[in-house]
This record gives sequence, C-alpha cells and structure tokens, in this order.
Amino acid sequence: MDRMFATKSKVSKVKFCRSEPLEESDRISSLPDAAIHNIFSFLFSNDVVKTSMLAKRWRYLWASAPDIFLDDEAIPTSDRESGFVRFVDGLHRHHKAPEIKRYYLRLQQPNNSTFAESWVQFALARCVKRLFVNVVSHVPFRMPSCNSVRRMKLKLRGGDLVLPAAGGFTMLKYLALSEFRLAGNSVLDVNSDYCPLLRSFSLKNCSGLIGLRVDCPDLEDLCIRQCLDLDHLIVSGANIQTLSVEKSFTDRRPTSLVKITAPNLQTFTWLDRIIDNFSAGEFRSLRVAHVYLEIYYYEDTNNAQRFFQYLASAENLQLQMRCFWVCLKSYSVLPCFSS
Amino acid sequence: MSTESKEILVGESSQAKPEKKTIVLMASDGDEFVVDVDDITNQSEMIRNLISDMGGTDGLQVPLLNVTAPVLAKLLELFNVSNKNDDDEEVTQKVKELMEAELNMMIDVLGAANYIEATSFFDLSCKVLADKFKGMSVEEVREFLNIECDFTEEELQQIHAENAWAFD
Repeated sequence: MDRMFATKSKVSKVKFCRSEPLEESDRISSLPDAAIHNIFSFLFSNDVVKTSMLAKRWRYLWASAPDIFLDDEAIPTSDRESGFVRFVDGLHRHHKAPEIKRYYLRLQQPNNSTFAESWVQFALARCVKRLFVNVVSHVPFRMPSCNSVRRMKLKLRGGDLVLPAAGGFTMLKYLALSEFRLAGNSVLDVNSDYCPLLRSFSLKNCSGLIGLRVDCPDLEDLCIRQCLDLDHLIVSGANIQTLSVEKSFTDRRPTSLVKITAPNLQTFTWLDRIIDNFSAGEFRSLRVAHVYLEIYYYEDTNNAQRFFQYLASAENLQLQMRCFWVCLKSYSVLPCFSS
Repeated sequence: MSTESKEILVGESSQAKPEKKTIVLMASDGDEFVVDVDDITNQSEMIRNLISDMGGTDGLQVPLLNVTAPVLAKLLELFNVSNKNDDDEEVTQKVKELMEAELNMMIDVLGAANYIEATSFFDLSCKVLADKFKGMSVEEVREFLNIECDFTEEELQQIHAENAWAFD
C-alpha cells in the first residue's frame, strides 16, 4: 500500500502504477454542471453562450449559468449599440436560471444606458444576489427597492441616480456608490429600515448629496470621499470600526454639521476641513487616526483644537496640516495624547 | 520520544510520528495519503466539516471515491505550493504550467478540488482555464478541450439560428 506524507515542507515521492488517461479524451464534459458554471463565471456572457455549439452536453448549460457578465466594450457585436442590445435581450429571453448569483452590467455607450433600468429589472426579478452596474449615461437611473441583493456596486457617470424613497434593501450588506449625481438637493437616510443588514458602505465622487444620515446597527465600515455638496453628515453605529471622510466639506458653509456617534471606532480618517459645528461621542477604542487639515481661517484653529480632543486616545496618530505655522504661533493646538 | 529531528520524523514513513496531527485520504484505487490536518483543512471545506462532524481526527480515513491516486497526488502537491505562499501567484503559475503540459490532469485536479470543496483553489483553477479559452472560437475551444462535436450539421445550423442574437 502506498503511503504518502504531504506536509508543509515536502511531499514524499510515491511510485504510481499510473493508468494513463487517454490524451485525446474529453475530461471537461464529465465535470458536474456546477463546476462548469464556475468556469463560466470567469467569462463574459458571449463566450458562455458560444459553448452551446460545442456538443450536446453543452447545449443548454449556458442558460442555467448563475452569473451574467455584460460589457458593451468587451463583448464584440456587429455594432456596439443595436447589436449589443439584441445580444442582451436574447440572452435574457433564453436564460433559464431561476436565481442569478452575480449580474454585472457595464455600459460605456451612452445610447445603451437607456436600457440599463430594464436590464437591472431582469436581474432583480431573478433574485440577483450581487449586482454591479457601471454605466455612462445621459438619462436618470432609477434603482428600485429589492429584497435579494447582498452586494451592490453602482457607478453612473452622467445621469442622475434615483434611489428608492421607501422600501430600501432588506438583505444588503455591502453597498458602494461612485461617480454619481443625486437628483435635486438630496438627503440620503440610510437607516435600519432602509438597509437593516448593511455592514460596509462607501460613497465616492458624488454630487447633489447635501445631507447624509447613516444609522445601521451592523455597519462596520463607512467611507465618504469627494461628495462635494455634502453639508450635513450624521453617523451613528455601535459597530462602526472604520470611518473615513475625505475632501467632501470643501466649501466653508455656516450650515455645515457633522455628528459622529461611533463608540467602537478603531480607525478614523479625516482628510477634510474641520467645520465649525463638529461633534462626536467618545472614541473609546480608537487605535489609528489619520488626519490632514487645511487651515484657512482663524476660526479653524479653534475647531482644530476641539477636534483633536476627540482623538486623544488614539495609539497611532498621523497628522498633516497646511498652515501649521499659523497654529503654532497663535495657539498650542495639540493636546496631550495619552497613548 | 525525542522531537529533535523533525525532518526525519516527517520524512520516514511507517514509524514516523510527527507532532502534527494527520489524517488519511484514500484515493479511488485504494492508495492512502497521509496528510497534515492543518494543511488539508486550510484548503478543503468538506474535510473541515467532516472533522468537526466526527469530533476529531483520530484514525480518520476519508475515502475519495471520485479521485484517482495520481490526481490526488497532484492536487496535494499544488496545495503545498498554495499553503507555502501567501499570495496566489506561485500556485496560479503551477496550475497554468500543468494546463499547458497535461490538460486532462489539470481538469481532473480541478474536478477533485470541486469534489472536496477546496473553494479558493477550485476558483483559481477555473479562472486559469477560463482565461485560456476567453475569446476563442467554438472550433478552437472544441480542439483545445478535446470535445467531440456530436451535433449533426443540421443541428448546428438550428442552434445557430436559435441563437442568432448571439452569433451575428
């Protein structure tokens, strides 16, 4: 009986009476459907549909594949617009999987973006779990409420994003919004009714977002970057561990307000202006604070001084300031850091 | 018992008694492979669950009915590469080399990884294979994977017509 040791360091050699598989035989066709579907999950859908021509075993395999990858730049069609639209419509019409695991839609031709909503509706009707939409658009994109999506990434260049006013996303755990514009001067209220299970939330490069209130019990990570119209930020969450705010409060407005309640915050990044009306609860678990302040006005030095009080328990503080010399001259801005 | 000469303990087969816990994997042809518990549970969810269901590893023998000895040996060899490296670069390279040299063995290894639920290694292998036939024509894929076309010319035309939206 052959014995073999497979350890971290070595596999001892064993002599096998190897029954050489016939080199010409087809092994892949004997894999279970789920394994072939997993191979499909690394291909764009046009390559997947093509496999229907391989042999009888493959005839309908593509139609039950749980992943759909559509990209009007990567999928060659007779022309990027009507040919691509025909492809996607045909794919949806013939696709038989009752549930879609991942639906990836990237549309770089603005004319295709008019279809984005109805195509996403198709995915939602199939209880999609992971939804990725990346669209260059000249029309608004209305994202409906849904109860199946766990992970959602929306990137919309051009058109407005309209999020559902009520309902929300009951199963959503991971939400990333980028390069989008919210219609009107919007206030986004992401609370435990809207996204009760949300754990990670990021907003990047957005305009039209005036107010953001985030209050989700399971939220661990929140990242806000270049939300240029932001004026109100109210964050509250017992499980928040990382919070990052960058380049959002760039204009000095008297109405600006920031309120943070995150008792278990561990990593805090603030690369932004310190606004007059800034308040936070105690950061008892703070380990790392990364702060870059730009000090333009005399009052800013007062604000900075108050701001640093919140960071007093940080074990590791990275601090960069512009106009640092002003502060040194006028005030002793830095408090004592205990740790 | 002295534990000074670990190298020998690990390398010498029968009376070896390494400090680390081991279990036995049995290939379909009856060959036995003694594997380090940490190494194998690091990869295989099925074996991880099995050990937790059995409440321990003592004398555990796992028959792998779908996996022949050469395939299991290759799979364990690749697991070692994977366990030794923090990133996937090295093991991806090895899987690629295997695909180029012995495609059938590579696909059997991929199937075995699926069978024992070695998810991350399985995904990595699927990606290597998918990357290879990305953008290939139907004929090229058939040739590459040794798939015999069992459609008649008529059937092929029919599929083509049905899926004209995809093949225009």
